[in-house]
Amino acid sequence: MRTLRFLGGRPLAVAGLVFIVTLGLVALLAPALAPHDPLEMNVAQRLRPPTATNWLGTDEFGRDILSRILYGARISFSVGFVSAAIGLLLGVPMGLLAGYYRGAVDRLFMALTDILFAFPAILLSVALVAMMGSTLENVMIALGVIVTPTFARVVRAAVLVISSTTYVEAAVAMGVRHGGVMLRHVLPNAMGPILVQVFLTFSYGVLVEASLSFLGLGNQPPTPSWGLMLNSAYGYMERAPWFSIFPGAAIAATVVTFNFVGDGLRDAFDPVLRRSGWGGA
Amino acid sequence: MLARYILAKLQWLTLILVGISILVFLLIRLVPGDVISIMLYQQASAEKIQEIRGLFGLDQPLHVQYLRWVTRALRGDLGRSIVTGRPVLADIVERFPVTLELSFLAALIALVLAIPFGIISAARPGSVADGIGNVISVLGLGLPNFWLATILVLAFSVKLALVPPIGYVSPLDNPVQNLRLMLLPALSLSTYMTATVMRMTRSAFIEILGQDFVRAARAKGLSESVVLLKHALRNALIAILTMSGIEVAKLLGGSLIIEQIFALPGMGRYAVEAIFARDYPIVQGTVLVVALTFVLINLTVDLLYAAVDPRVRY
Repeated sequence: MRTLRFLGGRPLAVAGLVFIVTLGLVALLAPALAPHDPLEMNVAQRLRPPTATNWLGTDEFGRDILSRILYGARISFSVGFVSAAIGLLLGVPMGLLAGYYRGAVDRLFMALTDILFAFPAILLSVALVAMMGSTLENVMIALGVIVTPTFARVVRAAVLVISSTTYVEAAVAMGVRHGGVMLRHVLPNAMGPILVQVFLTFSYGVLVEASLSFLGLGNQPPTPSWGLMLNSAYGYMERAPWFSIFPGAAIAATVVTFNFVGDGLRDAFDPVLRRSGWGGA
Repeated sequence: MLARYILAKLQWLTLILVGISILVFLLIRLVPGDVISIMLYQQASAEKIQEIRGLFGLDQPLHVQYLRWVTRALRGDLGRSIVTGRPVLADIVERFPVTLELSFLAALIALVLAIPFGIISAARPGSVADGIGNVISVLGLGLPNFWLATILVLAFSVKLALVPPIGYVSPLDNPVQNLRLMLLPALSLSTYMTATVMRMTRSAFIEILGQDFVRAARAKGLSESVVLLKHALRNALIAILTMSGIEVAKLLGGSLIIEQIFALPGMGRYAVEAIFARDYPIVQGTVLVVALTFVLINLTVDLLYAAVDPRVRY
C-alpha cells in the first residue's frame, strides 16, 4: 500500500505505467490500428519522408514505417514477456531454494550462475542463436539462459535476508513444513525485488532482441521487428534518416520506460533511496 | 589472511573455468543436424564427411572429445578456421588489440563523465546538474548503443563532417587519425557504463556524505571541495572502481555490435563474420577468449578490492 502511495506521488512513474499499458494495447490491437499492411510493398513510394499518408515515411520497399513499428511492438512485447516469464519460472525457484536451504544447493546454483555470468550477455546470446539457428524461438531460449541467473541472484539475496527473520524462525519452530514456509512466508516477502526484476528483465529482453535482429540474427525479413528495421535502415542512413530514427526511438522509449518504472518501484521498496531520489546500481 | 582469501578465490575460479570450457565445448553441439555437413554446405559425399568426422575426432565419445579439445586449448590450439584454414588463436591475437583499445577508450570517456557528474549530483541533490545527471543515466541505460551509434554517425560524420566516416587506421601508422576514427565508436560504447558508474558514484557519495567523519571535516571548517574531493572521494573510490571493473568487462560484449557498425577489425566483428560464414571454431574460440578475459578482469578487481580495502572480510 505504501508502495502504491509512493508511486502515486511520482507522476513520472505513473506516466511510465500508462505508457506501458498503451504500448501493450498497441501491440494487441496492431491490426486494427495500423493504417497500412506492414508487408505491402510499393516500390514507387520507396524511402519517402513522412507525409500525410505515411506519417513516419516509408522504407526501402515502400512499406509504411508506422505500420511496421506498430506490428513490431508485438514482437518486442512477446520477447519481453517471455524473458520475464522464463526468469520467473526458472530463476525464482532457483533463488528460493538456494537462499532458503543454503549449503550444497546454494553452492551448486551459485557455481552455475557464476559460469553463465562469465560470458558477456550479448556475446552469449549471439553465440547461442548463431549455433541453434536464427529463429525468434531460439532468441527467446537464449534470453532465458541470460536472464535466469540474474533473476536467481536477486531472489536469493532477498530470501537470504528473509529466511533469517524471526517470523520465519517462528514458523519453522511451529512445525510448518519447509515448502509451506517458503511459499507462504518467504516468497510473499520477496515480491518487491521480484517485481522490480520483472520490469528490468522485460526491458532487457526488448533490448537484446533488438540487438540480435540488428546483427541479422533472430527474426528474418520481412518480419516487422524494430531491430531488423534498424538493420535495413543502416544502409540508407544518409538518404532516409527517418528510417533509422523512428524504429530506434520506439526501442529507446520502450526500454527507458520499463527501466524507469522498475527503478521507481525499486526506490519505493528501498527506504534509503526513497529519501535521496535516483541512483543505486 | 589475504593469502587464504586468494587461494579460496583461485579454487572457485578453477571450478568456473572448467564450467566455462564445458559450456563453450558444448556450444558447437547445439548446431542442429550434422555440423560437418552443414559446414561443408552439404557439398561433400558421405565418405568424405565420415573421413572428416574421424579427423576432428567426432566419432569418439563426448568426454573423450572434450578432454582432447581442452588439452589442445590449454596448449593454445583453438583449432583452425574452416573458411581460411588459419589458426583461430593467431587471428584472435591479431584482432584483440582493436577491441581492447575500443573498450579502453570507452571506459575512459565513461569515467571522465560519470565521476564528476555523480559527485555533483550527490553534493547538490535536486539541482539542475543533478537533473541532468539523472537524464543521462536514464538514457544511458535505455538507449540501444547501436542506434546511438547510427545517430552519431549521421550527425557528426555525415551532416557536420567533423569526424571521418567509418573505417580503421592502426594507431601505429597514424595515431591522430586512429583517435578520430575511434571517437564515435568509443562514445557509443561508453553510454551504458557512464550511466551505471554515475549512479554508483552518486549513491556511494550520498551514503558517505551522511557519515560522521564528513561532518567532522566540515565542522573543522574545511572547504566543501576539500571535503568532497579529499575525504569523500577517497572512500567512494573503492566502490566506484569495483563497479568500473565489472563494467569494463561488459564493454567487451558490447563491442561486438559497435565494431560491426563502424567496420572495426576487432574480435567482435571477427566473431560476427564467422557466425554468418558458419565458421564454428572461430565462434567457439572468440567466446572462450572473451569469457576468460571477462573472468580475469573480475578476478583482478576482486583481489585489488581485497588488497586496498582493509574492511573487506576474507
